[in-house]
Amino acid sequence: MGHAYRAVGWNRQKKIYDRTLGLGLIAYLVLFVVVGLLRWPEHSEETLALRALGTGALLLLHVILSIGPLARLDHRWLPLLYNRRHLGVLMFCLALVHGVFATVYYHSLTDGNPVVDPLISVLSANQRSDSLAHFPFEIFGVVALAILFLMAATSHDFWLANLTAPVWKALHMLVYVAYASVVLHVALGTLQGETSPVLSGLVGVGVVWVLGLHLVVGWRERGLDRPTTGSPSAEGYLDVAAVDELKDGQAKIVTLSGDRVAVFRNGDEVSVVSNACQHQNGPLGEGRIIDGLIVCPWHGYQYQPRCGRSPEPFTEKIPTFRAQVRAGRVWVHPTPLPAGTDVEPARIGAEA
Amino acid sequence: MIGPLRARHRWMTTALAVVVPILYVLILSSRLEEHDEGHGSVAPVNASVVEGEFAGRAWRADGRLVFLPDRDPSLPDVLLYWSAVGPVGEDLPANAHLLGALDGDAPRSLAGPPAAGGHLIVYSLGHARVVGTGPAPEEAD
Repeated sequence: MGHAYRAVGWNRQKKIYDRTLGLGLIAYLVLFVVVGLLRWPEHSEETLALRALGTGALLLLHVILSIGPLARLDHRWLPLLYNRRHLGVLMFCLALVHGVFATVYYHSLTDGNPVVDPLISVLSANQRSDSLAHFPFEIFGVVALAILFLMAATSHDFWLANLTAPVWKALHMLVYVAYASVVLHVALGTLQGETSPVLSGLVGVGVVWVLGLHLVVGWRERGLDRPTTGSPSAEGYLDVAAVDELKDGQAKIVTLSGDRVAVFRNGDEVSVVSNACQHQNGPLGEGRIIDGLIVCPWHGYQYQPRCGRSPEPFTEKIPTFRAQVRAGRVWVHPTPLPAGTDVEPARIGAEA
Repeated sequence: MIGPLRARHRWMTTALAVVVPILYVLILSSRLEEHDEGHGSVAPVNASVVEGEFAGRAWRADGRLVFLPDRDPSLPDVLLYWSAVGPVGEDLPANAHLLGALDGDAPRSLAGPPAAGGHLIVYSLGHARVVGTGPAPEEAD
């Protein structure tokens, strides 16, 4: 492991975030059970607790999967993204308690069942694989739980730093497989005995919402990935923007050499860096320059515009690009320089 | 270079946006079809009668046991057991054999009893008590 373990830094924002989350969750679970007992007195407290945990995890998963695309559409959602991993770990804990409770309750607490390992019982009790409606829903719950465990176990920055952001993100993209498994688990499980269309409708709305949101944002962003075209200059530079397009302290995002780069204007200087933050590959070009440093909009990681290095004592660094300003236009060389390479900024008004 | 990762993300969510809703609708439709078929089910005249809070009729077909509840008494977590001996009060016999779970008033086709004769016992796991009992049906000739 190239990076040492560092404990979670509990700042004020994280404490407020987690406190709100914890209290909200407790209120949801208590309300669900109390209202359930009043509305359906024939159901046992255990059954209602199981459903409260399951629906709580399902709701949280929908919230977690909505935060990313919502933050891309509107930056006012960014505060929710700041501590999204805590949401994920909490959701996994809820799902785990739901799974363990259901296994113990249905597969080891009855004298009538043969004495078998509850885990074997979970995976073998339902053998209706010949029926779509009665296909064993437990399998999908186990698959989702295994993926969510993997994600929760590697959610700490220690793993993010050691695996590197691209590998970590590829691993955490399995959340979509987990989501599909959860939907099938619910559809083949509790919805099979549900005669009211309300619950089926709500889950359906959730599926359309989450996947629709990702589709809209994904296809909307395809435009950003179109490579910058045009004739390169004799030195190989490409024309990426007019100087007037760049707002002070902000960036224009363009695609060069197959990846996005951020062209920042800082007063009368232009610096170009990779658009991907080293921490979690957040979109640096959607951040701002504050106190002379590029600030990632996701978690506040900072980089010096001219060299792409984080200020001491931090050690993160990102690739930089050579830039020129000529005749009111910004030209960038598409070949990235090694991360942390110092590049003299192009100066507006000093062009030849 | 996270461009390829972004592209994979886009294709993954696109594929899921197609597959998941289709599977969801198919699963719910097959449930409705099975429920509709269930409402049309008629127990044969020689079906065994299960009496109690969760009453119904049971018969054997193709080696399996079909159970048709009379109505849905909204009991939680109802399981159907077979036992060589009848229940004692509200408790399951120690060697009761689980046949499967019942589902509201929908008919269920479950694994057949392991032996001839014996009793069917309907047990609510939620209430931890027997809620119906009757003789196990014999295999039709």
